[in-house]
Order: sequence, then C-alpha cells, then structure tokens
Amino acid sequence: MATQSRLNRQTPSLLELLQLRLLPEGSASALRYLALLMILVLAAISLFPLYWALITSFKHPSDVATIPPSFVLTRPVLKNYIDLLTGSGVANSPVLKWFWNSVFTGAAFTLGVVLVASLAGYSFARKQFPGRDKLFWLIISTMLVPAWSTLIASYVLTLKLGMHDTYWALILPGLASPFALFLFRQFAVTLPDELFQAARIDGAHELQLWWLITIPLSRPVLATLAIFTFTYHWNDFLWPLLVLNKPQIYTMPVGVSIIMFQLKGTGPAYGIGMSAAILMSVLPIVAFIMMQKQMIQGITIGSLKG
Amino acid sequence: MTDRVDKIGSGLRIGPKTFPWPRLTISQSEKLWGYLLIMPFMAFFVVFFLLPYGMVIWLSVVDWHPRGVTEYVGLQNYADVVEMPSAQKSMVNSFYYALMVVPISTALSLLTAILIVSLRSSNLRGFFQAAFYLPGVISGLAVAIIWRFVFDFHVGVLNYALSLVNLEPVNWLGSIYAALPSLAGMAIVSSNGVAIIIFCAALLSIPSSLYDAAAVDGAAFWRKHWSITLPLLTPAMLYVIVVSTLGALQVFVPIYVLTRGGPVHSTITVGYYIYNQLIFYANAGTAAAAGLLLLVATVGFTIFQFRRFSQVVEF
Repeated sequence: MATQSRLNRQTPSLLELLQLRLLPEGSASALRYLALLMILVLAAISLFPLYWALITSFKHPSDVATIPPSFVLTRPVLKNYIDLLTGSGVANSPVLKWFWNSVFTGAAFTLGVVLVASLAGYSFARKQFPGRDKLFWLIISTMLVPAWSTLIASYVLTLKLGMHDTYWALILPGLASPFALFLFRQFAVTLPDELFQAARIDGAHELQLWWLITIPLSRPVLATLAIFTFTYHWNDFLWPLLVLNKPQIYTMPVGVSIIMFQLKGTGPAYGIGMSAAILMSVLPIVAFIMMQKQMIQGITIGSLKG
Repeated sequence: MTDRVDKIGSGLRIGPKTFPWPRLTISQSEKLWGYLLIMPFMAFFVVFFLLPYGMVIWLSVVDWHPRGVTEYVGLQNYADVVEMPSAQKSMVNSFYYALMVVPISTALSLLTAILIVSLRSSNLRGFFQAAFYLPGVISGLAVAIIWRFVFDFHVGVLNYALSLVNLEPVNWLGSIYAALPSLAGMAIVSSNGVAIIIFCAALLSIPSSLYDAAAVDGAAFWRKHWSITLPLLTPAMLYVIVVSTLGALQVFVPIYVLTRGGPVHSTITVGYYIYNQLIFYANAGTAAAAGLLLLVATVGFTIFQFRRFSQVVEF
C-alpha cells in the first residue's frame, strides 16, 4: 500500500524526466512514435492467441479450420460451447460435472486455505511464543523448492491415504498454503495493538480477538487471498491430472485435456478446444480485472527488496 | 528478563471464572494460544509439506510398488536415472529449453518494459502493463490448447503466414528439429507479463537525479543506460532470471498437451520424464530420484546465478 502511494505521488515529475532519460534528446518525438509502434506490435503478438481463441470459439465448426483463416467474426454461433457442455461428439464426457467439480472443490479449498491461514497468520503476527520466527521462515522457505521434487512423495502419500479419485485429494494437500500465511501475516502485523489491548480489557477471548477484530479488519486482504487461491486451484492441472483417474471426478482442466486427445478432425476439435480454453480463462481474466492493482503490487513486493 | 515478566504477570490472572481448566499467567496463555492457533495450519503443513520431503528421500532408495513388496535398492534408482537414455535426453532438453527461453524472454521483457515506461501517459502505461500481463493469468493448459491450433501443420495460423510470403510450411511440433524451439517460442511469447511488471517497477524506482548527474558529466545515451540503468536493474534482473529458470527447468504442461515428449524424445523434459516414470511405468523410485536430482540442479543454478551476478555488481 505504502509503495503504491509513494509511486503515485512521484509519477508526474518522474514521467517528465523519463521521457528525457530513456530516449535520446533531439529526435525525441519521432522516437516516441517508434516506441509506441513497437509496443503496439509486441502487445498484438502477445494478445493474438487469446483473440484468435475467442473468435474461433464463436465460429461454426465448419468455419473453424479454413484456408485462408478468417480473422474477423462474421456470424457468431454458440455451437462449440453447446457441443462442449453437452459433451457431444465425445463419448462419456460429463463436462458440466467437471465444471461443478472444479467449482465445488475450489470453493471448499479456498474456504479451508483462508480459515487455516488467517488463524495461523494472526498467531504468527500477534502472539509471542518460542520458535515463532524460525518456524515462520521455515514455512516460507518451502515456497522456493521446485514442486517436482516432492510431488512424487505427495502422490504416494495421498495414494496410501486412499485419497486418489476423491475430492479430498483436491482439497487437503494444498490446504496449508505458505503463500496465504505470508500474505495474511504481513497484513496482521500492521494492525494497531491498541485495538487488541482494548478488546482484552473488555474481556475478549483469544478466538474473539481473531474473529471479531482481525477478520473484519482484514476483509480486503481476505478477498484478495480468496480470489488468488480460487484462481490457483481453478488453473491447477498437474496435481489433479496425477491423482484423478475416474472421469466422474475430473476437474475441468483434466477433463478438457482428455477431450483434446479423443477428438478427431481439425474443425470440431479446435472449435471445442478453443471454447474450452475460453471457458477456463473467463474466471482468471475477471479475477485479474477485479484485482489488477493488488496482483501487480503482489508481484513487485517480492522482487524489489533484493 | 523472562522471570521478571513472569513475576509481574503472575499477579494478573486472565480468563473468566467459568473457565474449567487452571488459570494461566499472561505469558503462559500467550504461548498456549500462539501454539493453538497455528495448530490447524501446522498439522496440514507437517503432513502434506514436511512429510513428503522425508518420503521422497526414502522413495528414491527403494523399489516402490503400490501393492507389491517395497525393497531397499540403495542408489540403484539414481544409477538408472543417470544411465537411462530417455533421462539423459530429458536433462539435455530441459537445459536447452531453459537456455532458449530465459535469455530471450528476459531481454524481450526488459525491452518491452523500457518502451512502456517511456510512454507519456500513465493511463497508457497501465493499459499496456495489463495487456502484457493478461495472457499470463490464464492457465498453462488453455494457452497450450490455443497454441496447438496456432501450430497446426495444415490449418494453423503460423503456416498460413509462411504461405503468404511463399515459404514452405514448417511441421512446428512434428519435426525433431523444430519441436523444442517451437515450444520455447510459445513460452517466450506467452509468459512475459510478470517480468515486464517487475522491470517497469524497477525502472520507475531509479532516482532521476542519477541521470541528471550523468547528463551534467556529459554522458551519452548508451553510456547512461549502460552505467546507470543496467546496474540498478540487477536485483530485478536476478529475480526474473532465477524465477524464469526455475519455471523453464520444470516445464510440463505444454509438453503434455502438445507433443507428449515426442517426436522421438525430442521434447522430453525432466518434468515429463518424471511424470512418465510415475504414471506409465509406476516407477515412483526412479521418479523420486529424478525429482531430487532436479532439485539439486535448480539449487545449483540459483546459487550460480547469484554468484555470477554478485561478481558483476555489488548489491
């Protein structure tokens, strides 16, 4: 928060100077147009696949794979989406069930992550107990370890616990999220101590301090955390791919990846593929638009204090 | 010190009279509640984060079977990984892939960030930051599915573009020479958002007085950027390079969706090799050994990059 407001205050004067310092003097205006042109080209390249998927998903299957390709949408139809959601063209594909699986486990996972991380984050921020800081940094440091190195063990562990092909496999293993703990703890540290002292004098219980003071004050950070967590779970592909084998329990990404292997012929395959890609992307994109400021802050916080 | 606090604290008893258990001093109750509140988190953390660290070491020295007998095999799994041609190929490919992706995407992100920061309007800058970040928020699976269409030999956009300039179509994903570079190209185009935002923030945080001083000293354009911008960007650059190297060495989803390691192992990466060993060959031991070797390699790379950078500039 502080970084953001500082940046904003400096922005006008910085901007004036930036024009001089990043581009040579003299030819500045011609170069600035060149810079703008280059940005537009780069942005077009970076956004093209998404645009291409979007318009393709609304084409009729017979118009999907044409030579030459048509880059504008002339007659939008929902056929690809309907085919995808009813699972037609592909045998035994309960796509709506996969959608529901993703939403349901995502909601349960998010609720669990936020609950567990806010309890622990409150404690790490505001309680005094031996080993507190060492424990905290131990937890945080596990974020740096590549996922592949422990993935096999997690796979074997959840298999032994009988969690494969159940919703538990999608909810429990990631529940203690170091990222969520870190985010919540960093926020809870900034709360004024007077509030807690006053509540204690009024006879508040420790759980009441958490539930009646910390939680209401941290609604913005909890919302950010919830959206981050849900989007992460929604996009996750590798873990569900490993632990789910029954089509009835697939999440959306796993199911879609299976469909993509079963479909024959380019037209319907790409039509359904693109509509699946768009359908899976709507939620992360909406989340990004809602949380743009927090996301961009979150990225830079980790990197600039080097 | 603690004794004194306890003596003072011993006079103050907390908790209403209805509490069934013995009353505690303030510092005792502080500790107790501290531990109680982290208990749910710690329980899941120990079982699903710490326990796997121990298990992966155990798995890497046994011949593990889901139902059969698990026996100790010493370092046999590691030997298998080192000797198996597909494993060797996967390490070479992962390294080669990272070598293609990391430098090009870092340079491209830096260039884009410099262009964005040089824009006059802050709205426009915000817009372009969002535009470059947007493709990064959608899942790797969705990106890979989209690119499968883009790369298609017959109806893909890339080969259509080649045909416009009278070039032969390229079998982007089906040729052993083109497949890995194609995957690298896809990564370079579609995953720059984070790096661009980090570079933008770093560029904006360079104090302009430095540039003024350089201008007074008569430094030319390139000299200013070489001597001021680049050194001051080093922490951001290090972060971007470390994170993107880690990501590149672990790449899996595009391989799974687009090539499945083929053709003829030309795109098998360490991630895909581990997946294959675990799921298709039920070889958890070999997979665990490969995972640990990947861990050692990535930690080694990270330390190497930190050292390399600390030689260039002091933090």
